[in-house]
Amino acid sequence: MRSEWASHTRAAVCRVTPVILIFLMVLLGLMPIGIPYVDPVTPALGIISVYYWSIHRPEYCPAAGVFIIGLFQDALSGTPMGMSSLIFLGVYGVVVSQRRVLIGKSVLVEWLGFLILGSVAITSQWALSAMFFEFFIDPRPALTQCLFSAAFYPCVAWIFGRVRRSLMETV
Amino acid sequence: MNTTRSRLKGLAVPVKVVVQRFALVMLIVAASAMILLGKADTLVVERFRLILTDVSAPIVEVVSHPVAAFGGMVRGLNQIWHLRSENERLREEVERLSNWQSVARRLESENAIYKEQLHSSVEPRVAFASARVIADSGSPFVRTMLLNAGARDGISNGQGVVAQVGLVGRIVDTGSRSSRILLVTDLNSRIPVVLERSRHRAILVGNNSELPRLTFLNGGVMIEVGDRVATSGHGGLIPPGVPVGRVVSVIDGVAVVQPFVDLDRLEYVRILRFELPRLSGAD
Repeated sequence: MRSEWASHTRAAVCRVTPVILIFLMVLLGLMPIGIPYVDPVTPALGIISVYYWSIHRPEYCPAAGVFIIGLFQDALSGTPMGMSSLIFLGVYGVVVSQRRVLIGKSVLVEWLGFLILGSVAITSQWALSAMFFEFFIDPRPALTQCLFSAAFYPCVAWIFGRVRRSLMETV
Repeated sequence: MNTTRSRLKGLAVPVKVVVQRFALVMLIVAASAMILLGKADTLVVERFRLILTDVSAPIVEVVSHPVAAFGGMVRGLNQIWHLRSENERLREEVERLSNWQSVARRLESENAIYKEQLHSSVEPRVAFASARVIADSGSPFVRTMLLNAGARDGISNGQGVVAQVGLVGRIVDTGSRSSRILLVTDLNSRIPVVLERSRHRAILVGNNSELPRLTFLNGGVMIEVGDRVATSGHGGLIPPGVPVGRVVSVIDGVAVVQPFVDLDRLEYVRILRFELPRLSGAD
């Protein structure tokens, strides 16, 4: 009885962990750290998280959850409402449909996949923002964000990997 | 019985996949519709944004504390590293400012005498509220910051926001317990300013870079590198004379301004509650 309760709790924790981690990463990306040269452009932690969990545990990362987290990101960051949701869902849709290409492959393949998809997502966000504001936005910060995100991906993926292995491998 | 169950199970998987794909398409359509709605009718979308911001502000504030502590630790280490040179610089600055203080005191008393002789109207007093920055945009496409104070603290849209040395931006969204600053560098920012030396009026226009530009209302203005820019007070929401920045270059007649405030290192800001006296003698 006790072990059944424990396994139910564990399964429930597993179900919500990816969405909570994506939300926390989005919040972390919005934090003003106040360290010189770090704050103006931060890695796209939301895109990194959606990409990772869509590959490894899409069943615990529902599209509706991704959509709602995107709305919170837009509300807090001041970007047009719906923009981050659209980008997150785009990443989610592509990864889920191409999952068999990425799953079970080496870390390098996964990272290369992020390099391409993350860059396309950030560039799309840049183009959408420029169209929304009807203003040519300097593309250099977007490029920097692509590079930052690619550089950060292995680190974030390693942390997520530890969480996934310790919580979900046995479920 | 078992065969029926396994058949149903076999059917359930493709149905689930179809439902998931349909849901994804519907959510993509919803997100696109929201962007378009935001472009067409900003009021509805902004109200929705405020609700979400107010709901999540307490969580953001909790998360921001350890992050701010980490940032403070790194800055502390950086300060220790530069302790000697910083001390030297501060000594020189104290000496320079002491001289300025005596000049300012003399000018203040002179000014008071002239105002009295001219029966000049008294400038409205500027009250202020202090708030902590709990989140920034985290995006290269907008330059905004979220504060942990809102309408219940007397904050309202349009009010100017300053840090110790100058203007930061103005309030554009006000929830009950949070508000958003549009920084002077954001591409939607327009601040009425004046060149301190020549008293020429201009509009400070953000472009999402670190250096906003000046758009002059009158042609034929002579701008020099080093000219100080301050708010003009036009519009009646931001008081006149708040320092904004310094002209760092003039390219093809366009003046580029470096704001005095380091917008990447803001922790606390002051929101100016400035209201011009009513023009009519309404009761």
